[in-house]
Amino acid sequence: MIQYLPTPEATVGATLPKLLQKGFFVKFTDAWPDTLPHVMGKFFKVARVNEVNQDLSYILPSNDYRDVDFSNQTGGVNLYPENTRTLYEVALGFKPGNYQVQFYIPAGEFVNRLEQAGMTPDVTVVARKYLGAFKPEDSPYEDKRILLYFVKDLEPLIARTFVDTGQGPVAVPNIAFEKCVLGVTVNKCYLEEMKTPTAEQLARAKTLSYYSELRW
Amino acid sequence: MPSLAQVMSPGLTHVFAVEKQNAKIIPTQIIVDNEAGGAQRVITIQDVFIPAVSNGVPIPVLTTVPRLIITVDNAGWATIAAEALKELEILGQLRADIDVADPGTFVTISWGFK
Repeated sequence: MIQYLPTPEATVGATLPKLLQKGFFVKFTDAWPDTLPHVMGKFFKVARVNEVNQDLSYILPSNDYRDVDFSNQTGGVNLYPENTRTLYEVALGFKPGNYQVQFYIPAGEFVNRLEQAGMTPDVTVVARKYLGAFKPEDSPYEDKRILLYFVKDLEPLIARTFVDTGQGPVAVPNIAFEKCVLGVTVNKCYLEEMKTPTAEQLARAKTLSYYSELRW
Repeated sequence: MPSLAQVMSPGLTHVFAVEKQNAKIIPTQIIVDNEAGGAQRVITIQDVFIPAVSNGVPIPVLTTVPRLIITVDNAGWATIAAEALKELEILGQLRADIDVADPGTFVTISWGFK
């Protein structure tokens, strides 16, 4: 559901496209809830794709944040599909700046946390401000490394976009600001269900885990 | 890369570029020609924008941040090239203000985007 592609240490042989292409296979794990029956435990072939670019831009004050809701609900940026046969593979990258992003799904539930009690991201606590945070250099605008997978009716994914301190004196009216530009490529994938995939197709498929599988 | 020259009159504020929503404006050259000016002049490069709604500021207001102040002697020039400007970022509208409107003062700014 959420995947981070680290910088490769070496490249061997033919390169593979970063995004899903026509003819690729995807498998949704059984952990997807029965509230999403159109994908839970199912296997699909990508019938066709269409890449759509979008930029999200926010000027924010330092030591402050904005929760960017990727879903189609009121106040969201409408990056979720409306068709049960559509998968949105979203590549996310950032233009340079003094800011960072932490993910929640649904609102209030951190994607990235550690096992020690209380080790959850919190931009208001100095010791945990950078916990689970992605900075612009982690996923550059020109080389997007964060992949998100959205299907119809998935719970809202929230990107807490936080401008760090160090921008200058926080004194009205010349409070310090940063411009956060989130570059998005929505790879629209139209899915065809395959009831009885072969062992080879299963082995080649990209497995899409539900976000609950990322938190243990 | 766009470039624009303006006479610093009438009025004290002169817009050079409106905000490019998905980029910062990076001035690459600023020239202030005060050769025919009436006196020493002070030019302020302003960054003007309305921030987005944030957790701490639910109703943002128009904000003006001075990014660079240039004092030019009477009958003088000032040229600031890209090397000195490369870290100067304008988040919103690029505006040049003058302390006193002067038909003998000219400001030329070139800029790009990041």
